[in-house]
Amino acid sequence: MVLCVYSMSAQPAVAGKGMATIKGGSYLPLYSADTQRITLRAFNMDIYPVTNADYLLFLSKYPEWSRRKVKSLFADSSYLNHWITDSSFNNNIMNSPVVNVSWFAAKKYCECNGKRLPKVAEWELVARSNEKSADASKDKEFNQWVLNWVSKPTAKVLPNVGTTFKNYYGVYDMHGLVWEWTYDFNSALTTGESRGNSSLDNTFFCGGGSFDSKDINNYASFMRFAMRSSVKANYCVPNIGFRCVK
Amino acid sequence: MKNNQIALLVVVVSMLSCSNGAKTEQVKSETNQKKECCSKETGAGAMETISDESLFNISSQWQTQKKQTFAFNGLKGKTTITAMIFTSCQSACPRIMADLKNIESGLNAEEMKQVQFLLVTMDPERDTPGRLSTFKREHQLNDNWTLVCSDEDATTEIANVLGVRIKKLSGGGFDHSNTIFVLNTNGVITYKKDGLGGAQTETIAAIKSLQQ
Repeated sequence: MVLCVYSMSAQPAVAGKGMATIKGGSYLPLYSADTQRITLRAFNMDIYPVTNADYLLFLSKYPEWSRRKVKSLFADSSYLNHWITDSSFNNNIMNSPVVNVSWFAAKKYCECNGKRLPKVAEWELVARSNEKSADASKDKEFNQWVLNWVSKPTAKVLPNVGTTFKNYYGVYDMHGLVWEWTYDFNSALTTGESRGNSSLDNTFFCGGGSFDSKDINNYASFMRFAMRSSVKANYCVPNIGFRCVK
Repeated sequence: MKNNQIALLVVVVSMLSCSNGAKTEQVKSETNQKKECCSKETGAGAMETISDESLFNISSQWQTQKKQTFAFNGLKGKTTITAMIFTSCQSACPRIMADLKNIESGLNAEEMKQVQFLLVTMDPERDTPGRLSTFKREHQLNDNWTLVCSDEDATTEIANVLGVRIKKLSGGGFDHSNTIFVLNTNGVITYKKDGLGGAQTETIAAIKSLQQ
């Protein structure tokens, strides 16, 4: 009988996964005036999203984050619910991005590996790169490709990491596999929400005419904004994974 | 002359941001910090059973307006009414303060003994214990009120636990959601009220329902 369940005793198949150096740059958040442009210093980013195998290794060291032990304050009941048990999953998702993980869990994973979650600005800076250029946000073909992916339902079995394109920085899978947690996703505040229960600085409205013109063409970035503004940090959903930066 | 120097020193010390203060704390307890990340059980959870949903599961370190260390499990035993604020806030925070004071005035002396108020700053860079202390005085808050600050990481974590959205603005302010939370004696959120103003009768009823 073929053993089709991956468990703690098996060897991780992906070895020597590295990080890519991102030389920094500037990013203008959605719904922001140009004065709110963020300048980013150089950082390193994981080349691939964190896989199920990576995550299992983390749990072997930090069992308090296992399905059975995790606090509901930090992860809802869907946490790792695509796994068979606390420490095993189907072999065919070993190298797929881990999903159904909360922001708290993702943050802890990065910290325990001496890294951190990327900020929205850092993530978006890398995400606007295609194979050839650091900033492809004006490239119609690229934007269409990304949009095609976000328009499709999530695959039942997620493909392995590294199966989409390698971008200008040498980073894979920023688009095409899963959405990813960011450290400050919580700063995505929409006017819809603000009507109900938040205070708004006037610039929030008055700055409305100064949307980043690049992003107006980039519908997918609005979808990511909507995704960030609709999730809570303990949510575990089947199309959000993560990667770390340093 | 000497007095001047001392005064200057006091000013410098009190100008240190909360995050700096917390960082000093972190350096001191670096071994503890590492242990926390790498331990099998977190310190808070290992000793006694805490509800999975309790805010007492949060292990970050905070400082009060009196520069005393504070952790969320220190809230145990009383009903807590809490909200996130920042002291330089011009528009919404005075209103959320008014809401909180309305709640306070809706409780009788007996109930007040079983209740505490906690204000958590969302502005760790500027809200030092000193500024929190000034804010407490200016708003004439009694000793039932505690104001706390920490570093960016702890602030982001509590905001995410509470589901309070915070967007830092270039002018130094924040866009943020305004929510008042009621925690039971075990640190579990039992009621929350979104939005400013309006009658606080439901919040007061939620607090009263927790009293023995």
